Amino acid sequence: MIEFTNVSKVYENGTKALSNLSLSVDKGEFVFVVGPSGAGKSTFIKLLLREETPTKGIVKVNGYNLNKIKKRQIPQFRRSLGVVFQDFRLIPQMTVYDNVAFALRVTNVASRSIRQRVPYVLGLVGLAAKARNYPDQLSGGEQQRVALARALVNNPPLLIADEPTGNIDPELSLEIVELLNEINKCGTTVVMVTHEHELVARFGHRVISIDHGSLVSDADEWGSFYEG
Amino acid sequence: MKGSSMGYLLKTGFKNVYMNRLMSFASIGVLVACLMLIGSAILLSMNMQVIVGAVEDENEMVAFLDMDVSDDQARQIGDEIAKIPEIAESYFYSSEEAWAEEQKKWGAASAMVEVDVDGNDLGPILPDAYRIKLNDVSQETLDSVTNQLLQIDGIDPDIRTPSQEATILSDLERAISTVGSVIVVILAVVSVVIIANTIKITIFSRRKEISIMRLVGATNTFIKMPFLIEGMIIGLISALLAFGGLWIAYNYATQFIMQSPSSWLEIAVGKLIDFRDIATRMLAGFAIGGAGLGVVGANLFIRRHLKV
Ligand SMILES: Nc1ncnc2c1ncn2[C@@H]1O[C@H](COP(=O)(O)OP(=O)(O)O)[C@@H](O)[C@H]1O
Ligand SMILES: [Mg+2]
Repeated sequence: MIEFTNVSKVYENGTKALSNLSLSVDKGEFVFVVGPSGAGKSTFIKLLLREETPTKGIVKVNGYNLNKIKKRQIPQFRRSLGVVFQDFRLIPQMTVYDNVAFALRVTNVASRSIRQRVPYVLGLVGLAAKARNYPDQLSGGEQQRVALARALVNNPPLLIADEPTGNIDPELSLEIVELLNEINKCGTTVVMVTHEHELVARFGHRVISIDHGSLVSDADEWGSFYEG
Repeated sequence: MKGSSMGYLLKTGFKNVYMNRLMSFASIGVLVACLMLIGSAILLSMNMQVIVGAVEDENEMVAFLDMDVSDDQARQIGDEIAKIPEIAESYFYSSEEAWAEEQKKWGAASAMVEVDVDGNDLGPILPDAYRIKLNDVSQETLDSVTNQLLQIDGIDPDIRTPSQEATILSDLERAISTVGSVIVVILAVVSVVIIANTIKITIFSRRKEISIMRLVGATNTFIKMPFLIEGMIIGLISALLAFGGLWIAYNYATQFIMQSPSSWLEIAVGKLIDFRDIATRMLAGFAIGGAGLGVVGANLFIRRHLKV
């Protein structure tokens, strides 16, 4: 599903964000990516989304070789991913429903499937009752669930989350991760970046730890990472 | 592209115009002014063409041949005349034809015949001639053609040329066409820039949406489309307004000309184009022009700044 082979990323200003990173994530896995601020976690995500291209090495995601992908194939590739960010990235002028439907409307999905699919995912994240609200009428946790619904609405096999709980109260953060956990149980591969160790410790998932752009450890769960 | 997407894109295009209404309004205003000026330039030049065309029909150059020119020589002179580049066409006009026409004009009793003292008919006194139609009747062309004709042996120096009015009108028409074209080009550029700036503001106010569209896998075409539609809508609205405005203004102008009893304007009266005759063409031209300017303007900015 995800394969990084000797990947390095040096930004144009000379910042070395990743150096010689190799890792792979299989279908159906739930992976936490941890590391201090500035470690290169978001750079890792940007390479996954093909927002950035690696300076060296090979990135393969969902069967696409991102080194060789053509510009006009990128939209198709992005439709095979769901993404959520720390800052939600909702459109303030649109209702919850429209924010979610937006992802389908702009990718040529027929209105009939939009009308079926949007209420379904809103139900999934527990926001069916707030469909007509606007983002600023929701709590941070709810806004992130809207973003999650948008990421899931076209049923992607891979869900990527960059610090999804970074702007949310701790109790609500737990809810989000539990939701991701449920989604993973239904077969979706999940990659979640976070630096909240308590959250990681609660779930027995694989943990990839990055620091200064390099892989520090790759453990089956938080405990073994902690000991190792 | 599915119907639902087309509906979505159109709706977004209209919404863009509305959300950005202050700028849309401003650019529609400028565009209407530009299109009306463009339309006026075209109308003026069309009218001038009709008037000049009418005057030109009655005006041709006539080069008389010397009386002692033989048929062979006349033919050679004809060949020489045909070589002059400014001449559209020329044809031989024999003394007999001239005579027949004169008789038609003045009646059979006219005394255009040379008679000797005994009253014997010596034949017509009208010389053979070449009638010459020019590409245009500007003074410049006239002078040039006259000079070239005078070089040819056997042509009477007294060459008949079109009237002064025709030359002035023709020169005026050319000036108007030239100035008009320049104005049209400048205004088209201004319109494109204005629209590009309007679209720029919409794109800035929508950059969050655009980044999300990219993230969820919208194609570049899809991302661009609402802005192109926005440009097109602005162009079309402007075209309609300009069309209506021009129609009203044109009718006022023609009425004014017909009521003012100025001498040279008299040539124009009756020949002026009726707006209704060209309304459909004008509207189609405006619609295509307006929409075209809108799309080009939108594209100008999209290509530079949307980085799709
Ligand atoms: N677009 C960019 N241009 C230049 N440097 C960048 C850019 N994005 C991130 N960086 C730098 O790369 C390093 C890694 O950043 P990032 O991947 O965002 O870390 P993290 O998400 O783990 O906090 C940091 O030093 C950061 O300043
Ligand atoms: Mg980060």
